[in-house]
Amino acid sequence: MNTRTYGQVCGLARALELIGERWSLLVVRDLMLGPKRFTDLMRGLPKMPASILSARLNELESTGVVQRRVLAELDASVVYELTEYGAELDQILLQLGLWGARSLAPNAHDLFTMDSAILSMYATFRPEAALDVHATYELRFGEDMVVHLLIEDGALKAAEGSYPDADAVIRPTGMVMLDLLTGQLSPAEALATQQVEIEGPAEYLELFTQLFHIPAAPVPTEGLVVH
Amino acid sequence: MTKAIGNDRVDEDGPGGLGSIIAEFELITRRDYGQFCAIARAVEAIGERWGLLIIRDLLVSPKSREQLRRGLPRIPADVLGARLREFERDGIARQRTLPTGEIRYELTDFGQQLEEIALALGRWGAQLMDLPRPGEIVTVDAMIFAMRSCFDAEAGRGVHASYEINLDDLVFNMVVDDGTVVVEPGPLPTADLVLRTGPDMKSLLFGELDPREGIATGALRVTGDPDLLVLFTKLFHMG
Repeated sequence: MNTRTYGQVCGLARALELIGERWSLLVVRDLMLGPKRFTDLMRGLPKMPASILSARLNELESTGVVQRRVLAELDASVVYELTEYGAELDQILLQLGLWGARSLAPNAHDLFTMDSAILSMYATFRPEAALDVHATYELRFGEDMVVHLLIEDGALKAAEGSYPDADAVIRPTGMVMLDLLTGQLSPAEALATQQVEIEGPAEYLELFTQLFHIPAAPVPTEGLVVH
Repeated sequence: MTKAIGNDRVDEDGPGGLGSIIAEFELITRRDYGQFCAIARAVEAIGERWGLLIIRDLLVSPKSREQLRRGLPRIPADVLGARLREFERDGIARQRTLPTGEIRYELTDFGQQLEEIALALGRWGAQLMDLPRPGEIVTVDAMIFAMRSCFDAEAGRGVHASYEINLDDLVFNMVVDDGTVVVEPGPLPTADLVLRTGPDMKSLLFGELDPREGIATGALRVTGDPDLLVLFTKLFHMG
């Protein structure tokens, strides 16, 4: 039994042996939106040493979470992608993100990547609020960071890039998106203080905050509980 | 990122030992991923080694440090201490002092919200479950967690049935009540069916062992209506 095993007959322990190593889940996160080359993964995880990335990919490959594929192109580049089994982690990761979002405060030097921007939209999307809603958005976090959202009767499609003729273009400044999604900042206030700019009807910002939401962290209960 | 360091609480293992210095060092140097990403934050909070197994055992019930150590015998004491301090700092778990003066660790509401995630991750990991490896242990908390994770609420709709399971020397029970299940440690004298078995439990849960065949060969010993064991495999199954 090696040191990475937990010595327990338990599905959760087995799961941790597969994806519990440092960085592993972030590699899975970045593969959730599609296959990537080694260099693409490096770009999304710049704090991760290349040797560690390589080791994690080998482990994830040997345990059947990730597979590599050679593209049928002239340069025959190798891409990594989730196996069917690995792809089953997607809902778990989004739930984990929604849980983590409740304590998400920006740190200095934090990197905000395109993938996490897209995934955060999936994680906070509330299908029940989107029934009968048909709307298109372009989110411009910066000049080179543009995400578009297509909401189609309870379903969301989020992807990189602009979307001409979107119903609304939203330009958040700084980390204001987080306050909007947690409800700490109302859409009206965000517009009035110019923390958010919108091209298109202002109602679309109100709708946006209904479609995407981070539930508040529960208030700690006090008082003696004896189990 | 500021870290809560210089904790003035004296570790019950005694401060100053090499192990506790290493654990403290690990706590201080714990890498953050440097990403403004909720998934990364969540992994920072609960993704350190042994973290989710401690949470698993606290999801089953609040526990003293000694009880946690008994359920996770391979965890180094200092790692357990470090994880508990991190969980307290991050608002995932807290200490509660019982009227007897004993200290219990319990999940906060925030920590409790990891339940569905942990159960789903357990189901995911269980798909590759092979036979127990040499030296591996099964704990009653791991079994309670497994039974909760493999309960089929859909199949349990309209069903009222109770089971006591004796898995070698581990005893736990399940009460199914119209789509919900409560799994507890210990015997259940009023159980509709008592099942006694060993490693065949795994085959039963994975659908590799037919319940009637298991009874016929003696791999599964039941007290009660054998049909309830067939029902059991519909209520609790992996994959």
